[in-house]
Amino acid sequence: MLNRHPFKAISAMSISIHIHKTHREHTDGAEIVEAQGETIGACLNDMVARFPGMAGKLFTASGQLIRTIEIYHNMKSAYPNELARATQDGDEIHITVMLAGG
Amino acid sequence: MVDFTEKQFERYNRHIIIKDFGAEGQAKIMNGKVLIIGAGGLGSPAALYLTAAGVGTIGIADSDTVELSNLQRQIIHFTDDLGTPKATSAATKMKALNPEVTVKTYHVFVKADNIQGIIQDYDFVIDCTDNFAAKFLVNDACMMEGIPFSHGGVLQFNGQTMTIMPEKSACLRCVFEKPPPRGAVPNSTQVGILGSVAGLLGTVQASEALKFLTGAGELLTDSMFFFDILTMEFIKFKLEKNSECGLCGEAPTIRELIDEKQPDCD
Ligand SMILES: [Zn+2]
Repeated sequence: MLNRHPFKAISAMSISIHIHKTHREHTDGAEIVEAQGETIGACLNDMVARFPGMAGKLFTASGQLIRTIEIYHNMKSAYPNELARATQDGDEIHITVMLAGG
Repeated sequence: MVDFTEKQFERYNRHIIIKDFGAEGQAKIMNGKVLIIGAGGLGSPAALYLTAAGVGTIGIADSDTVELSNLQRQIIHFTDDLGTPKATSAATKMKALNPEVTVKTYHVFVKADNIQGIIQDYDFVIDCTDNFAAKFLVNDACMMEGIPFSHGGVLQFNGQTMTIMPEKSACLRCVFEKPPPRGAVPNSTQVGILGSVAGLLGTVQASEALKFLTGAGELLTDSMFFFDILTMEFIKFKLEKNSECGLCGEAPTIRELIDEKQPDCD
């Protein structure tokens, strides 16, 4: 599920994915990863291709988003159907984790 | 005009002199009823600030007793309180801080068959529980009873909170379908929490209660306030009501409260 059309003009696209602190060990410490893709799911897959350690943090074995992961798209909740949402050049994605403590 | 006693006028002076808040705002606070569910890391600062502010009636619900590992962040409990029910320990400090406040204690495990009876007497509820089963139960019960409330969660260096006005703004289930399975999300017992992080979030929740009672400003509705104390990033994400929400959407599927077996507040 990487870019299905690797030679399309989307190579000019860049979407910033803000990585949650607890995940940065899997992105070589990067706070923001630039990714390409026409949907949030495609962008996350693009990131996972370069940072495979993120796969287990974001997706279940069947490729669904783990329920405790929150995705915000341009500062707005992307729930529900997060992975299918269309992205555009310059978009920002924030990944956060639900907090259970009190 | 509001009739304060001389002592009240002095005690609440710093509220009363705030422009556009003033005596009217203080009077609304003193007529307010707020319930705090969970007398732990979030509930401690929330209870102290609401008590100091002079909220007329404050309920505090917790089934636990004070343990040594609580004291690093649960600042309403002192070393001498070890073994005391948290609700009792909290009420003692609250009455000492401000004898004008009526404090009601609920030394019970808040669950599906008793929560509605507890929350229905209050204007506003603050969720200070420390597990998702309880957080969703508070959400569902407040939505069913039509009581505005503040949701909050903390872990390690992060906090997040949103305020919910039933029928008007997004609820917890509009943005999170259902509680994650037990064990899927670490809690503070497993991975820790910086004490002051809970203090910061509980204080934000208390502020929302005071804003609700007085009508001051804009509530944190349709928003998720998120912070990371390590990077000092404070972010407000936008939320919106989800028409597919199982609780407040167009075709609700959740019609009664259920208990999910998860650990109680630590
Ligand atoms: Zn809802």
